[in-house]
Amino acid sequence: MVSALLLRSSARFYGRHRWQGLLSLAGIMLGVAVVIAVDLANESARRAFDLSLEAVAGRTTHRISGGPDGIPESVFIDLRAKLGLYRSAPVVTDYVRVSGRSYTLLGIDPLSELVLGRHSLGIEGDGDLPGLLDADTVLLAAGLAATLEVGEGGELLMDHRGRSLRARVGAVFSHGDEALAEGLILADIAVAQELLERAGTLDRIDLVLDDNQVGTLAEWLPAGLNLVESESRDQSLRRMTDNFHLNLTAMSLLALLVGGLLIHNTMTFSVLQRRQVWGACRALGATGREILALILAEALVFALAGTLLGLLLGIVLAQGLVGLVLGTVDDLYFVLAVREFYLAPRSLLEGAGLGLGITLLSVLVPALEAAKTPPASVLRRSHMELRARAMVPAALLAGAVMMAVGWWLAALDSDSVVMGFVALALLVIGFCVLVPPVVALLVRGTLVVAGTLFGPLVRMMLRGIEAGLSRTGLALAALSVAVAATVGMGIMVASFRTTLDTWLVQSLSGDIYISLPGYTSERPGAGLSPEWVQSLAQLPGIAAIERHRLVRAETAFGPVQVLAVAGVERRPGTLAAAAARLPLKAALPGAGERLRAGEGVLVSEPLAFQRGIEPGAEVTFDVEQGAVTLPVLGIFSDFRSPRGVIAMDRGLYRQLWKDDGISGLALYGDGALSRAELLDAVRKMAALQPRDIQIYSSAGIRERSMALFDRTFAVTAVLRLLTVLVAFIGILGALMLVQLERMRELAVLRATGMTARQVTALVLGQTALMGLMAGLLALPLGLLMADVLIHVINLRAFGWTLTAAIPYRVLLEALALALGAALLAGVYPAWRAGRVAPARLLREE
Amino acid sequence: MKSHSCETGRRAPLLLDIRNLAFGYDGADTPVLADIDLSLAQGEVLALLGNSGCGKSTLLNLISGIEVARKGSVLIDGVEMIGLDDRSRTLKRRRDIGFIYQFFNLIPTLTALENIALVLELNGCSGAESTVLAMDALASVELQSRAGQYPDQLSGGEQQRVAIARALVHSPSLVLADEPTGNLDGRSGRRVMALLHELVAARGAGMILVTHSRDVAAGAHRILRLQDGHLRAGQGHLPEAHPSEAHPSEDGPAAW
Amino acid sequence: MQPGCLAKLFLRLVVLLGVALAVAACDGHRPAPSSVDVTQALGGEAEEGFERAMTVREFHFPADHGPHPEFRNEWWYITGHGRDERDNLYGFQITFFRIAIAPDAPRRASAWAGNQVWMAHAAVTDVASGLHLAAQRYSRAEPGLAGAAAAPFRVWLGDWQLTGLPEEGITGEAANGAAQGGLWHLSMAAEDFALELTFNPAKPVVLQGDRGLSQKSGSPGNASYYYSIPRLDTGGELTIGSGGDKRVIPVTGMSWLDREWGTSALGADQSGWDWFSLQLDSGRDLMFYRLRDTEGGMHGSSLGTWIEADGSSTVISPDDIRLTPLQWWRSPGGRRYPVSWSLNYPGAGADWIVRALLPDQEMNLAVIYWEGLVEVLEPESGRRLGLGYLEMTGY
Repeated sequence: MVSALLLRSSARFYGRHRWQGLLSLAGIMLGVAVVIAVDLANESARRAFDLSLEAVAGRTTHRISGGPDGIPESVFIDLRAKLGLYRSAPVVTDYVRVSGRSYTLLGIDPLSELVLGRHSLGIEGDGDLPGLLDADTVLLAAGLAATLEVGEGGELLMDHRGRSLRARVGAVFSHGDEALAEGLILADIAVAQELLERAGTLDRIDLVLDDNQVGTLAEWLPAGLNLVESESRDQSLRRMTDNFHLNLTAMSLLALLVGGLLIHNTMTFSVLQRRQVWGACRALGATGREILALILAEALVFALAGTLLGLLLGIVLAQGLVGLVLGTVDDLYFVLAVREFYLAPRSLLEGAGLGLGITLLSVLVPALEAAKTPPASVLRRSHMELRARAMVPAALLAGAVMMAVGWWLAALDSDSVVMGFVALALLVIGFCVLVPPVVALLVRGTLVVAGTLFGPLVRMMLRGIEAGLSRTGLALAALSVAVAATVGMGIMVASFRTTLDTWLVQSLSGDIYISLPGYTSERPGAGLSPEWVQSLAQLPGIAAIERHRLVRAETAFGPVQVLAVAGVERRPGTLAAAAARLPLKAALPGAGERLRAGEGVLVSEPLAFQRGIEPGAEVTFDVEQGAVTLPVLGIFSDFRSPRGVIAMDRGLYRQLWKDDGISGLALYGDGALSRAELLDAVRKMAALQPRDIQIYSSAGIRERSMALFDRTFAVTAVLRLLTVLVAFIGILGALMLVQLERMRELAVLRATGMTARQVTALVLGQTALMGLMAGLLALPLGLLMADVLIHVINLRAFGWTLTAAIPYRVLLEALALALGAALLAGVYPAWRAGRVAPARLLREE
Repeated sequence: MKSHSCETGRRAPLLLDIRNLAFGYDGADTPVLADIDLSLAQGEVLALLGNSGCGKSTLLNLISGIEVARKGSVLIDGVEMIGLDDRSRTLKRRRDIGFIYQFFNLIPTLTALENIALVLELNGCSGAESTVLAMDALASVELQSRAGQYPDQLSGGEQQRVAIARALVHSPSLVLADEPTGNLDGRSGRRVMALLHELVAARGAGMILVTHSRDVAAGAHRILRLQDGHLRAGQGHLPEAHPSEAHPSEDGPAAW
Repeated sequence: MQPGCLAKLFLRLVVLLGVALAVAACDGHRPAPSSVDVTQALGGEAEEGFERAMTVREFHFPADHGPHPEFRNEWWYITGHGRDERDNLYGFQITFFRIAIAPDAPRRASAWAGNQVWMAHAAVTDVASGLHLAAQRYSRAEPGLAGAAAAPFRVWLGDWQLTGLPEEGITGEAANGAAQGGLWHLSMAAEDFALELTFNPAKPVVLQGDRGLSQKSGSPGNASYYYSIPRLDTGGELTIGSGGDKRVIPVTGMSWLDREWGTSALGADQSGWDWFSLQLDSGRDLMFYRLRDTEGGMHGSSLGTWIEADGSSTVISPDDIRLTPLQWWRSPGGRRYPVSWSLNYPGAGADWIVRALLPDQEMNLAVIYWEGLVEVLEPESGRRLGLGYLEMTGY
């Protein structure tokens, strides 16, 4: 099809213009790599989430869950013997820590599991099989055993809520799905009850029920227990992580956009650059189709090579990213059992398709152009340059319309996160379309308005920018978008951080906070000993103690954390009030008093947003006495749990759940002792307790929270950097090519008497000017993106209202970034330009 | 396909017949060319004189189908070029026309030999066939020794000789030369012209030679002058002039 | 059996301990033909620490109706037939298997800790409809999920249970004193069938083998204690089908109880068994188990009992009887079972054909075997002489 000689000619072209070839390749490679990396990391996290859920919940239709104290095991016996619900499995489970990492200790009844057909394992080696049901014996998946460096017969040291446990590894098992078993420590239910000190109690009962059985069971179920569809539970969890993944996907699409622009830019350029060659070929008799095929073949080679390299690089990058993403899921949602990197074939295919597709597509336009343009005009002058200029008004209009529609969509009253992202995408794409014409107008405007002010050198710079816009415009847009993304994300993260910090300051009214390890886990455990709490109160220097209880309860909204805040034991002269710890967003009149009187509850903002709860609404709890309905007195801002928290007075809680446990304490000093002294005194008292007790000053909590926050958002920072890197390579390529192409022109300038230094300055000045423009244009878009992220996407995804904070540092950084990238990109061409030998270049043509 | 299109030795009696040809650019008041009538017989060499911008090159582009006229008729070997689509014109061009430019227009990324072979490849010859024929063509311009050199390693005269070889390698019936010596010094210009005339004559092709130099035109059988878009008779017919006896003097300054 | 499945764990427990629990349906599929069978499950060496059936012992009732946890395995096995009011014939079967995975019960904090696991199989055969349905259950014993007790009598696994009723059975003079256990009631429900049956002993307990010691191979201790009640008057309801197709069928008929416990069963040179329990219209019964050697022939430890109408019995040794397969049936899983036999027992003048009333009565459960309703025919006339159950394993 394509003449071998023409192909050879193309190969030699890139042989001579290695920089250009490498940049095209780098563009495709980076674009593909970033998209794949994010996608793979995302996919791994999603799979880890699904598998973890499955590992923990199994493929069951329903589950019975209990109150704070779990489920009496007699319920299970009755289920089997009285109700004949054979497809049922008891579970005792909690998190334990081994070597500083959390794992799920899952206590199961192997025979029940057999009935449900899950947790099927293969035992390796010839272990002492009957011993698996022996006391203190656990099973480890092969992968986990390798990680923890214990083998069959080895000893496993675990920490459970500050208590150290010792177990024998009875067997190392292989699993059909190794990833599924990765984070699980499996034990017989009897062993688990003993290790976790849960004799007599189950954490849940998983069931496979048909419709008739659901009715019968629901009727029979003792008060205080709930029958929940496992599906709905999974979905509520999944919905939240979905939002997280959507955020990440948005970032990767942004990277894709930037990468795509970059690919388009380099490929277009390489075609335009050789218009003389195309012209000569056409004059010699090559048909348009032959030229088209040649250019496409060329692009295909680049696409294949770039995509392949991109895939490899993407996989490497993803390995790094997946840890960050999983970390976030862990921090935000729940402890993942599965942490394995998963090479999703779909992601790889997508990435490969994107690399090939975008490259070919982006080269198609200039290739068609080159093929269709009659040979005469190819030979005559840059046809596209003219066209690019002719398109200015149309591009302005199209870009403006897109951005307007995007803005309108963002402002729509909707709770769809996807819609938020669509709005964001429209804003960004519209912006891309706007960048080249706006830069052209800016330059022209400057020339008209202030043309005479500048010396010829500056005028030359400006004209050069405008002239090269058909080749640099898209690279500029890419740089702008990337910089804008850092601005938008930067502002969003900063706002989030500030809001969180403010909230922490408001919420942490006490001086010292005390809790047991595993405080935030879903099961409350025994709690702090009341006697010890009493003795704490006697410590000198303590003005008041606030007790609270944090448990998980089933409500009509699914599982929700219930925070019971105590009536504060006051000493004269203190003003500590429970409600002060819950900064209210909206409330009924007298909410504080009514809350303390146990007349209602407060609902956290994410829960309120998700469920559309407003003050005055009602919440129903299933407790032993039956269903209890309470009014919602107010909405409080909360960043503790995206799954929602319901707060109530501790008195009301004790009345409803008959639970006197204390999960944590807030201590208020009376000022007689310094915080450090008080902390010391409390620590001394805690040392006498058998269990590990966590004691933090409020400042310590704040510190830890912020550290956690930073860790969570580390992944977004990395993505921002990657996006900028892609854009940087793009602008580097585009600027370098334009400048190198101008070497002849520069040689003429040198010949007419410009010094080498002047020529260098001209090139650097021009690239700097472009960088500056890209940076300036990025600022409004960045602010716009931040606004959408904060007020549309975060609100819709998490139900968190963030107070926008614009750190000027972020804006300045963005400008510096754009300028720096552009300047850096200009260094090599400027150096070359300075050394250009006028005579030689002039002779060459 | 290959054997069918790789034809390099075919002749037709009347080569070129142009009637009422006119051409103008959009928006321009005066047409570049008007009422051009021109015919060229097989083996005839026609010199077209004219000053810069008189439309000489445009006329060549119209003949070769690189540009298309709105009006008139261009018959090459009895085939009407006007009205053909771009692809057909391109195919016609690459089979029956050889083009020589002032600025050589060699492909910089192909060697001298490959530049010549490209034309044959485009005409469907196999790689081996092309190489053999291209080598012969290169020999005819006495540049066998430079076969592997890239254009930027050749002198201007050498480049133009390569271009001549490229224009003739597929034995076109019509050769269009646009200021072939315009970018060469006198000595190499003369050498190039001598070669060109010799080779064109040897192949029995017709040639239109566009130049603004009388000396170059002197080697032609017939001279026409292009002035203000109109074709006028030149300074007579020089039927017996042998191309090698023409002594074009040094051309004016380089065009740019 | 698929590798990588929890069942393997239990299978290997089973193989190691030689108990009759082997579970293959770990992924919801029906077990493959290569799946474990009873013989495999029962093979292997006995574990230290269990009691073994070494010597003849005295049986005490009703205490011996209850469990003997110091032995590794034990079962309560009832097979029977019944007729509805239109004289349609049905077969049914229920078995509770107790398996000890360790000799001693541990003393531990969790009530779930224990050393016993249970498995139950049930089946119903509807001869008229050509239908055979089977189901299984398994469970650990603790905490009260499954178990057995002598007084009051109860064997249960979840809601499948066999319980002693307060009223006295029709013990009659024929009963030999303490051997009677009174009325038992079976209640079980699976997805597509259910049994609600009451059993009333109509013959006294028969001790099998040598006064209840049933030697299963040459090596001492490779034996079990084995008694039967060959006739139990039976009445109650069968439920067949589920949902809208559910049929509740009142039936009356006759059942057979087998009770056996021990610590090991098959020798290495045995490949399976064919077990007949035949109840003749004449009031006499025949039990014979043919242990097959690895060549498929009759193993020397095969044994049986001829029971007169008054309950008096005679031991049938392998030389007294000839069993010849006449006809084979190939199961969907590819196993070939002889479903028609010629039985020749000159000692009682018996020359019969024993034929399955339905060829497909394979118990395609975690452990695969054939267990079904058979009829006893007179070869010449084709006259039915009685009904019974046939169990075939190791095919």
